Amino acid sequence: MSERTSSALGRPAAIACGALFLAGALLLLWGAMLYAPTEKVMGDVQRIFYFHVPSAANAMLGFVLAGVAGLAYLATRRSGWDEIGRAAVETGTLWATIVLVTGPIWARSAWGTWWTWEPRLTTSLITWLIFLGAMLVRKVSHNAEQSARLASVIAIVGVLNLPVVYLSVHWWRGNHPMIFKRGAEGALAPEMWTAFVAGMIGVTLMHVALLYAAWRTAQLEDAVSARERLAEHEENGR
Amino acid sequence: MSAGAAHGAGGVARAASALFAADLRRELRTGEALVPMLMFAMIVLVVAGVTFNLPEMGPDDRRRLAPGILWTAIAFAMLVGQARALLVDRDEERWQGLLLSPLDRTALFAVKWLEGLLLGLAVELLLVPLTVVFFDLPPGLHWGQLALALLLGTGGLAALGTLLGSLTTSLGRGEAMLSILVLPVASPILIAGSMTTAKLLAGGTLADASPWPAVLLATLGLNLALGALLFESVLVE
Amino acid sequence: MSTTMMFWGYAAGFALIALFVGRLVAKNASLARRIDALQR
Repeated sequence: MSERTSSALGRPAAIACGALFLAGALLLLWGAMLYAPTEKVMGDVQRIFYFHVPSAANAMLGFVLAGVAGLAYLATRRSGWDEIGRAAVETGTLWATIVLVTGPIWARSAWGTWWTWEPRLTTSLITWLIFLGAMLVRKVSHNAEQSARLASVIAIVGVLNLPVVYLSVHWWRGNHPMIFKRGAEGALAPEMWTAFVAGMIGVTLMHVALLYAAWRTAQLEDAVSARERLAEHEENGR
Repeated sequence: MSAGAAHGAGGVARAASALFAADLRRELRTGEALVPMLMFAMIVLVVAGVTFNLPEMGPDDRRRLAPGILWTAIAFAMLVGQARALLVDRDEERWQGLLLSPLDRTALFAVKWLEGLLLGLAVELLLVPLTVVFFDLPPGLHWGQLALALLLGTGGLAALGTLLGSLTTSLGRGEAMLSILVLPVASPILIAGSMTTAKLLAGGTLADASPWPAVLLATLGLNLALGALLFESVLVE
Repeated sequence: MSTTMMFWGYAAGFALIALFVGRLVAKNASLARRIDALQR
């Protein structure tokens, strides 16, 4: 049993998390708003790219981590893995939600439509639904063990199906517009690449800070429920 | 697990076929899974027919709609049937007996998967001719290839339905929860199934539909493997 | 137009993050209350 008390993070860790998050956010905003040149055709709205695509990558990162934690939990049945999995599904869902909100705003301005069945947007929507399912399973579970076990199964099934989802949506819709297309007009200018790398690092730093905070909260949650069960047990024993 | 090992492979095969025979007899007597599945599949077809206003459509538009509606009907019928079949097991506390039987969990998964697949194929036996008639599709299809595509897609859906159906059953939830969990993961099966069927219903072959038949095969293999490996984790109670 | 939409994109994204952080803080506060209750 862990003996952690009073706060999930503790003051120094909370400050470190905040600083890491702030550094990431500033790096992202610097690259996207100050460093990157304005795109000629789409205008300023193209700057959403430096936030949107790194968010999609970090959503994947969260979900893959959740899948790995799910496998490790089923193999070891140690609640530590479940705490990681729980935090990763939450942050992964956050980034996927950001993809789903920024995507249509960009699409509306650049292509005149809120929703394009564009492959990255479509896969994000499907992935988002899969992991909302994992969170729903936790909500309706009868106890912590069942919740961890069943959510692990969903995470593993979801993550291992992701490559197939990704491939089939890409083949279904044809290839992704602009950005990474080889050849003249779609290529990124060197400054844009730098801003994109800054966005990637920035969003990932923000993700690490949030993931750490969510993970420690999950740990504290388990420790508190364990103590409460113990206290209840003692009371009944008397 | 260990009990199964003691009985050896012959024991497992006997126990599996006994379970399968008992379930089959029960289904033939009551029709408790198949009847709602057939009704539901037909209702999806009729709802699509009236909401998409088929009579107003030309033959080309109808042909474009048919594969998607066919797979929607298949997917929802499978969800209804598998949720029903697994809930019946749970309600009658047959699980206790199943878990104590000399079947290991993988064999139990295989039996339940096969039952789901057969239920799906039985529904399609009615559903596909009905779709051809309702949507006025051209005759002269490659029926054998269509059957193969349906077999692959339905097998994949059955694998997901068996694994996740046992999961939702252990939560005490039914079709709605099962749909929420299965359909997003099943999206490659639904895409590949309707893309393949679109070509086949237009008189083409599986080769014309490439790479979609391969996607159906891959999703079938992947979800069978996942089901066999993870079934144990959704059963423990 | 393009600039306004860019602004809304970033505003919506950071609002979602703020919501996430807010939920996390609230959860921590409620956990702290549960610990207090246990120690009493």
